[in-house]
Amino acid sequence: MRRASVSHAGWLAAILAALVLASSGCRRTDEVESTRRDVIAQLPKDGRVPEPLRLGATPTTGADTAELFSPLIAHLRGSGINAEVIVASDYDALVDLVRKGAVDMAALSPIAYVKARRSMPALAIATATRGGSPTYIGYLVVRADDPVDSIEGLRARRVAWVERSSTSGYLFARALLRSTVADPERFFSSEVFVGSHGAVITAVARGEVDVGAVASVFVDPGLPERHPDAERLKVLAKTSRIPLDCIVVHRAVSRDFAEKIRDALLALSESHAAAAALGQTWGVTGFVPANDERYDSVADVLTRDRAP
Amino acid sequence: MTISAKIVAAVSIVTALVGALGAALAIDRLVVEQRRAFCDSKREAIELLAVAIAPSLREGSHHQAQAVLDNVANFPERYPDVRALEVVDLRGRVFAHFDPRRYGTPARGIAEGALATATPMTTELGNGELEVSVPVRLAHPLGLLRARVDEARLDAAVRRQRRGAGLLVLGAMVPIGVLLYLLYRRDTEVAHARRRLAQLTSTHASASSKGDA
Repeated sequence: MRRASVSHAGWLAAILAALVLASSGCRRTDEVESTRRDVIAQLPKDGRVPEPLRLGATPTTGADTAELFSPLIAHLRGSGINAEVIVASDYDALVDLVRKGAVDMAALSPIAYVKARRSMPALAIATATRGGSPTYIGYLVVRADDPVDSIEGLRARRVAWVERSSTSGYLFARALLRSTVADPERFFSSEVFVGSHGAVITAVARGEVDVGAVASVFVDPGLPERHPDAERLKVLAKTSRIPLDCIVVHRAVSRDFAEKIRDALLALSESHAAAAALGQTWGVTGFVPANDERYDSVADVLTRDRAP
Repeated sequence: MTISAKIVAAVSIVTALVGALGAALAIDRLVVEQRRAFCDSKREAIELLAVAIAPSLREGSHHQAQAVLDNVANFPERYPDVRALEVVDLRGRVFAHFDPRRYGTPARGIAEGALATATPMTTELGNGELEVSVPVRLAHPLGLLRARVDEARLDAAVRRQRRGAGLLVLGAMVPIGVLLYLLYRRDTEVAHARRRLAQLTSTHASASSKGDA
């Protein structure tokens, strides 16, 4: 009888232990998942706390870069972070500065980030937003009076691109063509690279070309960046969503300090004055936590564009 | 196996079966209720979205409708069940879509003339997804908003509930079984002791009678 009681107690203990293990297993999985999601956990606890924080950026045509970022610098200062802007000649030079540790943080275009994300000792902590959205879209535009109503209808016509490295003004538009027509290389009768979104819009509006690839922000009504000739155009097709610039921090920066930077960036959109000021200079009105997968579409487009 | 052991086993099995069946029926009823509530809540959410999109559709502001859809697509953690959204105008063309590349293309699977008379509809797509379509209208019909909703979270909740109920039934059956077994052991031991006592008594009685003789 006693032996039987011990055996029963053993079974009950085993069942209880299995239940406890099962529930603790679930908790452990959740913890691992949440740690994996927060990239800042990958930074060292006892890392650098740079003073001042050196923010790397690239020049924008027709603007003083330091002036461009001054609302962000002022906002960071208001959050207790003393920062200064280091201007690199281009994105390759900026990534080089990140590699050398000559900047602690950098604002990178999606293409620059995707090209360097595997090799650069930095982590993306925030993605820029415009009007609350961390993405924008590229348009294929034609004249409003053009009867064409599908991409196939553009066959053997003239196209204007921004430049070969332009995300919305070339790469994503070409990806759209590749997904729609069988022969994207020979689809248009001629193509020109005109250097800016504004020039593409003007070329289409004047009838110098039949179609152009531009970023949505230069065409959509109600936006300050809208080109005056945009009202003479219509949107024929749209690209997939393109992520906006991302902010990376060097892997040597301390976890707590990186968190402080990210908190300050995420709080930007709550400060209407700072967001409006940065929107006017840089076209960015806030930040959201970076999600590396968001940039996979850019990597995919780059890979396919290089493919024969 | 003694008759009493058979009775104990039979009572245990019947109790377990009745408990399991009762739990399964209760869970099934709960699942039906949950699915109905899930469909209703998704349809109501999509109807609200249709109200928000209606002015953009009337004015032809595709970028504004697209911005609403982008907001849902860009933050999947906020809208974990929504797999796709599509706004279709009265011409049957895609006005805004989760995949912006679909803009301006003919909408799939919409019968001609169905847009003007559309009513809210929920359809099981059969691959763990639900299609919810609601008309977009102001004073008059403007188009249609269609959503593809993933039922994975609902299915996971149902699985969790079934597992929980199974464990509960098991947890209830094990102590009952143990208790019945202990009762059976006690009764058989008592009976055994009585039989032994009776044997001893009868042996002792026969020995005494032999001695007397």
